[in-house]
Amino acid sequence: MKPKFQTILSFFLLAGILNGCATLPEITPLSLNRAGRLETACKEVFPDGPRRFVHSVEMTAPGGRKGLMMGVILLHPQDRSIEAAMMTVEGLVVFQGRSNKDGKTEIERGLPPFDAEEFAQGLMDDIRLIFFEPEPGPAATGISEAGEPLCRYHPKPSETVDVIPDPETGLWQVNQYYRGRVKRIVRAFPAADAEEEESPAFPGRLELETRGIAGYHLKMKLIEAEKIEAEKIEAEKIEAEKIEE
Amino acid sequence: MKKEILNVAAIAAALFCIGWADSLEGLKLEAGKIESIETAFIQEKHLSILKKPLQSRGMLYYKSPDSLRWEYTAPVEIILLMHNGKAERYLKTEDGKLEKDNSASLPIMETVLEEIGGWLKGEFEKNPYFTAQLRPGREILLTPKEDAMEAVIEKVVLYLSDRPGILEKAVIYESEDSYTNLIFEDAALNPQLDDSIFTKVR
Repeated sequence: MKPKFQTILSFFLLAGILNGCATLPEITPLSLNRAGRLETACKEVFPDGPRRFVHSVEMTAPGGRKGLMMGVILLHPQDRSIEAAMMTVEGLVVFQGRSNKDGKTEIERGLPPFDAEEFAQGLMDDIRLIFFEPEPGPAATGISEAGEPLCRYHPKPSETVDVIPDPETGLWQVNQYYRGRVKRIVRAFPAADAEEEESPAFPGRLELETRGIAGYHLKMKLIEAEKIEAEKIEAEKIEAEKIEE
Repeated sequence: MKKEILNVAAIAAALFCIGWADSLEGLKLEAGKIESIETAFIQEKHLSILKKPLQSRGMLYYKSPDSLRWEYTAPVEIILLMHNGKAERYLKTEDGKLEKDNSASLPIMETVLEEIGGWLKGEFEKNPYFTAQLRPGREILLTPKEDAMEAVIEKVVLYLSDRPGILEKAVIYESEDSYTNLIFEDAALNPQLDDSIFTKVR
């Protein structure tokens, strides 16, 4: 009995040690000049002003179940607010909501099971990770062990985000870590038919991979992208209010 | 003489067309004569956060009594099949493969498919979800019978073609600023449609 207890105890101790060992990939700092250029490249990964995107979203849920939806998002990087809608290809809106800069999310329309607060919060968190530069700015910049230049952010004490840009190819990757373990990965790919006049912040394809028991995979294909002027948004709001009246 | 005959024929056709849409019973009678339909469609989604409507295109195939193939070809490719009361949806993945869609939205879409099948059959009076009201100008207004349906769809307006048995447009309102236009084009009545169209994705 005693040896068995010791085996179990050893297992938990080992698991505890391994868990404690989860560390972030090391980075080698760059010279001030190169670090400045890299910080600019990291910033350019994200939209610098209001944008409207329409994507097709291919979802793979745990167990391999697949689904295809259309996603519309209106991003306001200045105040970090988001408006988003998810609909079936047939046009049925299953979710519409908004999130303010503090992350407070409001559901305007939600059909079960898309009416759950957890779903809304998760969706907005995903959008924020993909499209907004983490705050505050980079805590460090450098070259990873894999030879990739990256900017490292610490949005929360337990959370780290590495942004890995490649301005030459337009590819970029964002790795989010929770207590040193990879939680979510975003990969961006340029597409041949992507908006030519726009910056690399408009990838033709995006992939989001989330880790864990309930991990899922999203493949987003850009259908429409639009840069929006602030005055235009205001005019649209006024127009919408008029229609409502 | 030939001109007079043509005029009489035109008037008779016009009267017939008005006649086919003057009662819900008349609609069902005319729709009942339809064995199959093949039509292209354009879908325009209007939504408050969209600047311009999101447009999709595809083909719709219907065969009496209950077979439907609802196929989107752009901007994404998906196929909804309904045959013998069983509905399935397939999506074209980024790798170009057609895979079964098992998403949470499928049960809602099954109801929508049943509903479209009912419109094509002209079954408005027996509709379990909506109350039908025939309005002037070959319009049918469908309003939900229950709150649960109203939370999903506020109302549907169907616009009938001047060709008996044919739908010209359907507008599905989720709210005043969120609605979907389905415009049917180049409808062929009673074409030969093999059952495999409704059971196989290819």
